[in-house]
Amino acid sequence: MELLHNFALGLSVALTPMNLLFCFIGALVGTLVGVLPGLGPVGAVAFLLSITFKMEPASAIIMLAGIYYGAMYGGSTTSILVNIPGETASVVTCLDGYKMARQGRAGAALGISAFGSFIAGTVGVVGLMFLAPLLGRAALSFGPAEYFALTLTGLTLVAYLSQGSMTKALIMAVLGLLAGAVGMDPISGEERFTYGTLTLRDGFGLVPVAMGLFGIAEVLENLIVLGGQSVYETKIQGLLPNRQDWRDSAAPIARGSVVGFFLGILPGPGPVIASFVSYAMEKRLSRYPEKFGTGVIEGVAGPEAANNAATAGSFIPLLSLGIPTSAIMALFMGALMIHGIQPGPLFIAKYPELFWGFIASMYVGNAMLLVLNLPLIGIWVKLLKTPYAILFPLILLFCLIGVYSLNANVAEIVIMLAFGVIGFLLRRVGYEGAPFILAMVLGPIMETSLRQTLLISRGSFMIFLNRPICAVLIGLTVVFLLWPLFKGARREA
Amino acid sequence: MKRLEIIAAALLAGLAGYVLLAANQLRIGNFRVPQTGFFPRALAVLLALLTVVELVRALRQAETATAAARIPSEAWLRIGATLAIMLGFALVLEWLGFLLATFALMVLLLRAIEAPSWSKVFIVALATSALTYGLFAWLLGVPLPAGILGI
Amino acid sequence: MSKAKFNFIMFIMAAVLLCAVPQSSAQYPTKTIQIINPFPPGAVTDIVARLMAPKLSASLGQQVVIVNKAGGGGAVGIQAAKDAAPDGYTILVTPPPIALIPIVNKNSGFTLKDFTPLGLATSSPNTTVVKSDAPWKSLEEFIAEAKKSPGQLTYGSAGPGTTPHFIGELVKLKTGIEMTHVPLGSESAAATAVLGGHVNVAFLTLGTTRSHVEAGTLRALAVASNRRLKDFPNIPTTVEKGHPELNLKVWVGFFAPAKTPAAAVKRLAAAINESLKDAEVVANIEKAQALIENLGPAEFAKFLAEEERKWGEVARAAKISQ
Repeated sequence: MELLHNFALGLSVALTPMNLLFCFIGALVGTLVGVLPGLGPVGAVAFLLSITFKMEPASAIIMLAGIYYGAMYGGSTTSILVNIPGETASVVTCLDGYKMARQGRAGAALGISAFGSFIAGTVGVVGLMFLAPLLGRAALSFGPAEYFALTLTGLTLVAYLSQGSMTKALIMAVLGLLAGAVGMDPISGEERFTYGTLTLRDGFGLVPVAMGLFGIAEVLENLIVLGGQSVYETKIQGLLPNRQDWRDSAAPIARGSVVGFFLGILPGPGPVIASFVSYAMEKRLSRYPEKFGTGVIEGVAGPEAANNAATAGSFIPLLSLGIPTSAIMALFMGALMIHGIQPGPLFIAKYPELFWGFIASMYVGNAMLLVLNLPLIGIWVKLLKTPYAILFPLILLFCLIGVYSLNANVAEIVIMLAFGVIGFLLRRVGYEGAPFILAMVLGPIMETSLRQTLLISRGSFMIFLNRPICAVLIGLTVVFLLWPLFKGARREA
Repeated sequence: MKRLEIIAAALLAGLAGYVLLAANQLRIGNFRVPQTGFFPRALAVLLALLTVVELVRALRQAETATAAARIPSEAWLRIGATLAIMLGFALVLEWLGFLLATFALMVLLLRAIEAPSWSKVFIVALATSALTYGLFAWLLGVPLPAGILGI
Repeated sequence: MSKAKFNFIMFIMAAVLLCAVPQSSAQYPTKTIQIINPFPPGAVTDIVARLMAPKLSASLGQQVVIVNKAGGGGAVGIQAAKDAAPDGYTILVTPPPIALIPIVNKNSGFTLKDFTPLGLATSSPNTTVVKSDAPWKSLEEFIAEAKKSPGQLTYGSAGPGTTPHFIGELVKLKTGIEMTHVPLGSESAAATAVLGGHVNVAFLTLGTTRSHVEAGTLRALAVASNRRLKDFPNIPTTVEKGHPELNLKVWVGFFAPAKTPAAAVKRLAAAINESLKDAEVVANIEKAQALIENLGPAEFAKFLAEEERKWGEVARAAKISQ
């Protein structure tokens, strides 16, 4: 009953004409920055932060949140169309989404990611509504030891991220871990492999690396066969997912929503990890895992649902505890603090109209995004018919501006180009980019949390087995690692 | 393909060796208190092992008949030119300013990739530099560099 | 010559001509002033600068924009401000890292000498926090426990060379206790680790801990201040606990590159001073959990010299510097 009352209060805030307008602006800007590679929600929210000073706090957070989850809708667009991850959380979407586009199924891929995002976004808000305080407290029991165990489990996903040789996938993963180790060591403060440059002190940025390895490498690849036939299948098969697509995608969307929501709660790049986990899970559960990477719709539906659900989950630590777990959450916190509102354990009780208005606005915003994105599909698909003599320079231009807009640092453009060349060359000999990105995301968390744990335990490894969550995760890792051996043995028997 | 795979594995093994040497310059610590160089060194060892496995596999495999399509030299030229133009953009962006640099980039890229007619090149380049400027600078408020001409 | 080409050349010539007009020597400032924020948007520096910006604009008669150049724990943006032309059109807003980074890293590329202080804007007092169900009810109890089992207790910081780390080492130095330092990456991560019971204590700004102290999920053993805080009369101060040397605050100040002309420095300092007296700015900054300091260039320089001395001593004693 109380929940209904609260939700009615929320609707009364979210449905005022002003807030509806701000919600729509947020969703629109979010879609736009999602579509534009490089420039992500962090940048957009940062640039628009000063506009919100003059707004009501509820309107401010409604608009800024719209940018965040809107970007997850838009992020898949360039992944699918041109193999450039619009957001880092859309890297995995490249694997099958882009292949679908080349087969003339861009419409189905874009459609399922819009619907998947809508369903997952809604599931995420429901979770946020019912579970926020509970899960916020539960998240606190995750200390450095648990994070380390979690990253170990995460790394086993590498096995599901490549189509070809396992050795090559592992080599790419180790290279990714090494790339993640570049920069200032967060424990000792010493510099590693920075060669005295300021840019590398913070390590390689995920965005320039992902755009290089996927987007630039893909364009370079396509430059080989220029003058010949189009890269894309010219016959476009439908603008929306068909009945079979829906049958294939229903379960991945459901699983992706749940997994994404819970992974989103954890600090760090929750949506990115959620999308990888969902992809690996779908491949693991699929009856035809060998087809993953050739353009199967499950590989788009699951991860796109997961990254959207994760955005809802990632609000939990901020709203229930006042803990910003990522750069974007720190921005939301700043946006509220400028209005003199400090998010914290008492936030929901002290500002019910703000919290519930925000929740209600997320339902509204997700619906708006679906309505906004579906008609766009037709336009995107038509865009692929642009002659590539014009399309390629445009793609490259957007990559360049996008990466520059991150930190106004031209050195990051150079990093993107370098990884473009590396990715292009390595791909030709069968090394794939996805394991590299996953490892690069997990590596720094893994190393830091291991060393923090050992500082806390004074060098004892028993801490990993003494803590229940930790022990379970390590057990899971062992099972995942031994599973192929077990399966192989059974097949031979 | 076989030859390329061998080269790739050998280069990566070389990288592993380099990282190992570089990591030895850092404090290593021990298993109880791993220091700055511990992780990179462990990774370098792992990379060395994996690349050796890959190298052995590549050396022992039969030459596959369906070798990856060779890249024709004019394609290399196109790829090289594209990369050089983008690198040039990075180098002059803050000096020339966003609008001019973007215009030049688009003109050069359009010419390098397929060379449509000059009038088409200029129209597309003008339109894209103006539109992207409007989109990023005005609509999204991204601070873009103003160059020597103040634009 | 095609028409497009002709137009293009005309366009370039026009542009060059427009720029060739000599800059008028009208009084400073004649164009937009950039404030570099070396931390991500939403950080306290960003909030303070953005809240002050409209007033600064009004007082200087020029637009004032905030440019975020985050990275390297502040080093990237501070370096960018040092390298900027010293013409008064690029200034810096920064917390203590401008003093701490050169102490920690001798090769950081800048020191306080590369900057002219314009004014100390705000500060946030430091709090010593433990988890609400921790056995220590007071600072004395905590210190007693730490003395009983040296090195067993852990304190969380935002990373090596950050303010919470320096304060932790200063506490060790002044009270003679041993604690293990656990760098956690950010102030909020350190607060989270205390909340989750993963580390025992942390020394964080009130801005970070306030909501948890209010909610009772964190217990503040002490606050660094001369007087008890208006909002938290129950938290004892470090001064009354007999540790005046632990009276620490995390400040936010404005700087210009060292060779900025004196006239520009004077103008900027006056504008900063004026905007920090504006009732609306004051109210908004206080809502964002910071206290107004408003020290002018001379006093700020004195304050900075003292900071440099104090932290230099801690760094040497605790071997923080490399």
